[in-house]
Amino acid sequence: MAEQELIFVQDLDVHFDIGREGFGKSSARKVRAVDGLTLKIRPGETMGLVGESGCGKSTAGRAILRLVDPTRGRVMFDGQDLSALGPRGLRQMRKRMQIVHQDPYASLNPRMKVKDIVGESLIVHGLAKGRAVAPRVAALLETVGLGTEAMERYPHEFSGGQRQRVGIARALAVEPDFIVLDESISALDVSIQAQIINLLKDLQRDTGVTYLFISHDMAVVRHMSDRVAVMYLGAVVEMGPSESLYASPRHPYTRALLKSVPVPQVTAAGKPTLEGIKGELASPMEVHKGCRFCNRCPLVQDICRQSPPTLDVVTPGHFAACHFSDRLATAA
Amino acid sequence: MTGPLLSLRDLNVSFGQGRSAVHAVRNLSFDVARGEIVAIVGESGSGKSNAVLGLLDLVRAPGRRSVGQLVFDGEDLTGYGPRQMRRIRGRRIAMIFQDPMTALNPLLSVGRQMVDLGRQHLGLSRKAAWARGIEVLETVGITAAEARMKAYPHQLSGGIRQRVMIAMALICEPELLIADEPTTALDVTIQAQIIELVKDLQARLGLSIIWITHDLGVVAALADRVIVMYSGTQIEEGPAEALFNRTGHPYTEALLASMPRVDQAPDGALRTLPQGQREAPDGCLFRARCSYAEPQCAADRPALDSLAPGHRAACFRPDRQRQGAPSHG
Ligand SMILES: Nc1ncnc2c1ncn2[C@@H]1O[C@H](COP(=O)(O)OP(=O)(O)OP(=O)(O)O)[C@@H](O)[C@H]1O
Ligand SMILES: Nc1ncnc2c1ncn2[C@@H]1O[C@H](COP(=O)(O)OP(=O)(O)OP(=O)(O)O)[C@@H](O)[C@H]1O
Ligand code: SF4
Ligand SMILES: [Mg+2]
Ligand SMILES: [Mg+2]
Repeated sequence: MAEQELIFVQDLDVHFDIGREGFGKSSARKVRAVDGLTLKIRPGETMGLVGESGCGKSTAGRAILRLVDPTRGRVMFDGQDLSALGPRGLRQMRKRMQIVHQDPYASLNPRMKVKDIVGESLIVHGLAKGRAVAPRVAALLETVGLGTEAMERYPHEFSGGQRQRVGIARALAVEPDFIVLDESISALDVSIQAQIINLLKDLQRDTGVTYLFISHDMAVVRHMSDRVAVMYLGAVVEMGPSESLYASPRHPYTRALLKSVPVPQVTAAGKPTLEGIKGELASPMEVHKGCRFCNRCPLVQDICRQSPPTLDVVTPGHFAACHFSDRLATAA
Repeated sequence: MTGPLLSLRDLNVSFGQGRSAVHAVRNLSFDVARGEIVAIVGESGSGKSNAVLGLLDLVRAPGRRSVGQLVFDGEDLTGYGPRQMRRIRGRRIAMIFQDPMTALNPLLSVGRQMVDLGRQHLGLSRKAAWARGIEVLETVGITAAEARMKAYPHQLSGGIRQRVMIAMALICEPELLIADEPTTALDVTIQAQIIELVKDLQARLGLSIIWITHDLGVVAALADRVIVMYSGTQIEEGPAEALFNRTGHPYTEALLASMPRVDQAPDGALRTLPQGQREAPDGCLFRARCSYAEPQCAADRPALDSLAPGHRAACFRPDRQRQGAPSHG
């Protein structure tokens, strides 16, 4: 891969202090939201980021945009270390990166008309002013499939899918190189989801924009992503081209995730059984000596509890952090 | 034990009056056989929650509910007032609501809530109700049941909380369990555990279940029979296998086609439903968004007609696939 990555996340930690434990212990409690995350995102691709609730996906996305400060490690954007930038440099950089949240309603100011919500982005970043704003806004709304009559309306006058389009139009206003889509379509009905997925893919084809697509929906991520990273307790446990990762997952957690997804298909043989995995969601407050997945893993051995597996190549471009990833090489 | 466990005819639920009235549920009619899992599926606002609220006579004012006929285990409940319905609800028909936190009292321990239920519905002593609580927690696969009884709802993970909800519903050994989107907020690995648990309960206890969901994947994993709702109307109903493999209604077909698949590599753009009036004022409700609409669809409203034994669809052209579907895209 000679190609220069757009984003290089290197050994990133984001830990949150959440006060002290009761019962006289004096150690401050920490949530290890992101814990040793390494990730490269290439220009023009969609990197999918999946994992269970609380595994640190949103925190990772926010840290990449430097909306939250890392505890350790760094994020390089187009060759520049974001932590080395001053406020001014950061503001320049921000123009190139945007985020679209899950709940478009919460992230759109209810008292602003759509033309001002989208226009504000243009004005703040000095991309248009005065009379030039309105036609730009109209063009952006058209790009996302909303008519110009949307300009004079307020967020509450739109359906969930339409509001999400407004959020995307606002993100596109600055012509960013990179957009973090954090559960951006998760709350929508499938038929609306399908429209937004098609829209996002069309936009990428036309503009070459790079996406970090965060979602807990394994099916949507497969459809959207060129490559996929699976997070567990703050770190990537498997990463690879979408096709190879979905067709032959090499980490037991990825495999369990895939076997848990119910497929909309019934054969004459009857209902399929979901193999899934035992155990509850993991807690990001524990410190791990060995493999972070060891207490739920069906393949666990002593070595897993003693030493942490590293993210190693399993096939070209496909990595897994498991001592026994070979064992999954042949398993379906 | 002959005949279905539950038989519902012409349930209607509406809000508001005259032109601005919202018909949340229209002429809904279906049966649930003993030991059967029936899924109600449809998009947000299609009337799924109101369908079961109407069934149980739990529609709150200003909503109005009317029912043509409701028979449960041979008993005609059609004319029952609130007090008589309350005798059936909770005991013989148990319900799990869409949001577990609204159904669990955050101020009371799990055990206290279990004991209250056991005393209220079964007339058990405190001690017997406690023992019954432990028993149902174990039935739903909760380990360390004693400790869980002492916990408060916020101390439980989402998956355990949902199991507790199911356990509470099982206290009175209901014949019918109704669950409204009980796994939607859960992670997929936890959802898979709950789905397998419910299948196991059906097999072990012979429970009948109505399961509401918007996820056709969940339907496939769980349901024996499926009811598809669109804009308050039942537009298709049938055995799961028939519904997925010989889909009768264009809306069901479009829903299936717009879902990305975890088990298949992407193949071009996803199919989308045409934008258009959600609900046509005359003719077929769905016609403004249907890729197969014909002149007849504007003239008459299609009835829910039989395609095969137990399989019905409200469409004039339920066999259209066999004549070649229009290109996707
Ligand atoms: N500001 C904060 N202070 C303390 N803890 C936090 C903060 N932000 C996130 N966390 C915790 O960090 C962990 C990771 O959270 P994050 O929101 O990144 O997870 P996620 O993978 O996006 O989850 P979800 O799928 O539920 O959105 C969680 O345990 C969360 O409670
Ligand atoms: N109190 C109310 N007043 C007016 N309309 C209502 C009221 N409650 C529900 N509705 C309407 O009834 C219709 C059906 O609502 P219902 O909650 O049954 O849908 P649902 O299929 O359960 O949706 P979801 O998947 O979002 O839970 C919707 O159009 C809704 O707007
Ligand atoms: S390293 Fe061991 S515990 Fe971790 S995933 Fe692999 S087999 Fe399981
Ligand atoms: Mg998140
Ligand atoms: Mg509902």
